[in-house]
Amino acid sequence: MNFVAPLFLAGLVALGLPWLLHRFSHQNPDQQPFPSTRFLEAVPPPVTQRRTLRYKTLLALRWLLLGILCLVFARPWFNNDALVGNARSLHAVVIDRSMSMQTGDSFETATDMARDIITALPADDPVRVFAADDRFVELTDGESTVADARVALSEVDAGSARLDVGVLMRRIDALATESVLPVQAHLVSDAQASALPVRRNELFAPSLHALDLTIVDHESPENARLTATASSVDNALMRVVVSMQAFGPGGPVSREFVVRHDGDELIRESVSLAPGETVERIYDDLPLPAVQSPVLDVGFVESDSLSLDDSVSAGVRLDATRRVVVAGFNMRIPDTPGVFIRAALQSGAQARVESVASGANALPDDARHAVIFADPADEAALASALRQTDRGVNVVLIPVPQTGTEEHSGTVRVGRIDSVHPLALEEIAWVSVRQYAHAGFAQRDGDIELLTTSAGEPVLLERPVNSGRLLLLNDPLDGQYSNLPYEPAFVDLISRTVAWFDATGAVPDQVRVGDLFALPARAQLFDSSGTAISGLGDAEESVTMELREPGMYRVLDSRGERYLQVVTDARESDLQPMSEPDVSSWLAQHQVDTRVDRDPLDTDADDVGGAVNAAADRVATQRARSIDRPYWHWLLFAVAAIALIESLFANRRLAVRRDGT
Amino acid sequence: MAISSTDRNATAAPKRLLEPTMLARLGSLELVARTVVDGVMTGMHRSPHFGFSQEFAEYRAYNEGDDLRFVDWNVYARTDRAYVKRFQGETSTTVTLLVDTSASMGFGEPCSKLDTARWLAAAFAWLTRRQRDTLALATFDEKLRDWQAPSARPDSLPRALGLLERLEAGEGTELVSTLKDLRNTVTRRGLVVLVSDLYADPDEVMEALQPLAHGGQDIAVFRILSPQEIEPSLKRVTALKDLESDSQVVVDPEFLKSGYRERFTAHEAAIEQACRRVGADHVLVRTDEPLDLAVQSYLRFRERRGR
Repeated sequence: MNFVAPLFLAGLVALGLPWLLHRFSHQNPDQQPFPSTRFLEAVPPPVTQRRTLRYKTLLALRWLLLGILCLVFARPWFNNDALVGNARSLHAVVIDRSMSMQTGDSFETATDMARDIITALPADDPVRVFAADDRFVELTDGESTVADARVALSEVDAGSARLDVGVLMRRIDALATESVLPVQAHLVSDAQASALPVRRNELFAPSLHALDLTIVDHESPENARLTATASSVDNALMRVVVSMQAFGPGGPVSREFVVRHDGDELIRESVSLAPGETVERIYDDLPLPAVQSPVLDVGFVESDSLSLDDSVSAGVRLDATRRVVVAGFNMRIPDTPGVFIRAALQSGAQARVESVASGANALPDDARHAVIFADPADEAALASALRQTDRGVNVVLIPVPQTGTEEHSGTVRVGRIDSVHPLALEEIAWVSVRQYAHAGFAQRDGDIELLTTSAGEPVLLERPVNSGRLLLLNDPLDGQYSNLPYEPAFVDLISRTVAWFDATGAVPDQVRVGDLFALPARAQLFDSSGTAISGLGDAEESVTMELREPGMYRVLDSRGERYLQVVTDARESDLQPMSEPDVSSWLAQHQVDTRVDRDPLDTDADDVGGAVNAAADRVATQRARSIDRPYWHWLLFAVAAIALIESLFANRRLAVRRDGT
Repeated sequence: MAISSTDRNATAAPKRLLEPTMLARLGSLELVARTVVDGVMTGMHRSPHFGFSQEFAEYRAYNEGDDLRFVDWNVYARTDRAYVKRFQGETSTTVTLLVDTSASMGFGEPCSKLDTARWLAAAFAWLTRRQRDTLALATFDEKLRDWQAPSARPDSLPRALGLLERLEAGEGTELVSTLKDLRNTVTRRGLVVLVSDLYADPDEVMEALQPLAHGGQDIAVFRILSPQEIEPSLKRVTALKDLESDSQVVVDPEFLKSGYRERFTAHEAAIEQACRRVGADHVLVRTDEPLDLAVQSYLRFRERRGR
């Protein structure tokens, strides 16, 4: 235990004050006139048991009060250093296994350091070993001995994910919170600047008793990163985009990259990369290799110390126009609404519209998106739409009113918008949209109101279904019920709806290592070597997955074959270490013991030590500031005054004899 | 004659206008005296105590030299003999009031002992003049402060009341020397009424009163005491300062409950004994009790003395 303001402990000297008051203080009793003192005798009051009890109780209370006051003003806190080497502690050895640790032999060095740390730990203290990137994985089986911990270290390799130090400290803090023993964390890391959390207070783990940080220095913090994408819209030519980025404290560096397909070199170019600058090279009109699902290999000719981000595989994404079927249920497509919906769908070439004259009962088997006009009073139409969604079709139902309309007394505007729906309806300009009359489908329990008028009438509903999507647009789109078809908001709404439909069940083109994504039902996933990661039998429904290794993955489902590019986090490519003030302020909060694997003659190590001292000074300053608040002093005086008054008052009222007998 | 608490309860009259707190509010000492005396006299039936007032006592044959004003001419007309009427009150008595004004008499709340002494002396003076007796008044502390010579003139009462009005607590008490001085002054036989708290040695008291008693004086001692000094009680250790000597004694409350009362009671008994030995009446007057008892004691005292 230590004290923020230990000078207040000097007040413990005042513990002798009550004893002096009781022992040596002369009585100063009240004075009263009396007619004659001839019958009086100055007899000291007899010491009764009751008075003795009062005396001792009061003395003890005064001692206790003074002691507590001194302790409170000294503000005790637990000094982490005081626990080191004392009694039993749980040692959590955490080794950074993020992608940056694959630089050179950094991870091997870190492993050796962690091993040395474990060896130096007290033999009786339990040890737990963890590997940290975006996960916090324990390598040991609970609390282990030093020998077991050393063995566990040999079973871990550097990964490809990112480490956020803030997240790591939260997990260490959770570990310390759950532990019965005081926890000392021994972190071995390269302490990347890019690993720092945005909110620096996340670096502080309040439950942790001590933090021992061992920093692994990379041979060179300079590094370059490369990513590439390729796409084709006409199945003849392709576009290749290569992005490069350099990191490091030095000046521009020259790099030469090459794009190959199946060993054939398609592009080779040298670029100059300035640190922090992203250089992008776009190559259009490259001939698409005449193979199914071509994959390009893009990379620097010469790799640097971190080779993982120096090359990528880019599958050529074959863009296809979305196909939307427009049909009417037991009716032909209304003329005016049909024109409006076709125009909106074809706007920007976002969809290819296919009309089905035979009606909504006979949609093509391969149709995935449909716009169906139906009588809102016709229950069979709704049942038919549900059958379509059951087989995975995404449907927009548009009403064709057969009876009279329910007119508003005036025009109404859009009132409430569901701002959390993926359609992002709040981004659409609804200001000028007016509804003159309401016609649409009856709302049922469970329907989600995505858009309502100011009169509370639903304009757009989503009805939850088992598969596919079902939207109910309560507007006949004939220009008589509202001005929606004439407004830009309508095109925006249709565009977003089609994009949302198409994204349903789709696999993203690119994810980062460790990112979660949804793999559609009945889809197969293969890694770059062709090994199945998720087979058909594994997922009857959509599952959430994450991939831990970068590379090109292949997805096979009813849409055919697609590529999923898993890339590394760009922040892990930045090998620059944390600044000394950042390190210092982080470590100072935990009363650190810092070791740096630098040359002892390297003055930078001294700088870190100095920075730690400076950080400790800052902490001390902050603590001093916290007790320098004016009210603190006033409180001190108030309490002292109360103690004085108590001494004067209680002695008299309790008839306490002060001679100590 | 000491009045025990039992006596006080048995003789306690209904509260009239004699409560000390009420008397303190009256202001005028003459009014106080009349109130006290009238209050006592109203509560009494026709006095069976023959001789106190100017009532007829006997007939005596006229002798040469007798005052012709006292010849009963009706009897002379019927019997042709001259007789002179004799009255008990005819014999004039000198009543000397001695009031202690020492510093200790200033003690007591809400009415000090000096206030009580003042009221008591005023009442006695009123009674004396009502009897047309000669009144003398002396106040003293360490020495004789004021002396109003014996006088039967009508203005003797207002002068005495004026003197009592101006009384203030003085300094210490020197009972022996003061009464010694008075012994040379009070030569006529009569009644001597001493009103004091008597904080003196019993032997000194006896030494002071004895010459007066030997001189033929009938002595009544009214000892004025405050309940705060009879039964003092303190809650904590207190320094008690002597009003006369300025000496200070730190006293434990427990001692006041035991040792002090024991000593005080012994002293009280010794004083009473000393009074008895010189033939003086001793009456204890508490400042928190009505003055009825004291006045009645005074009346009995005069009755016994037959003057």
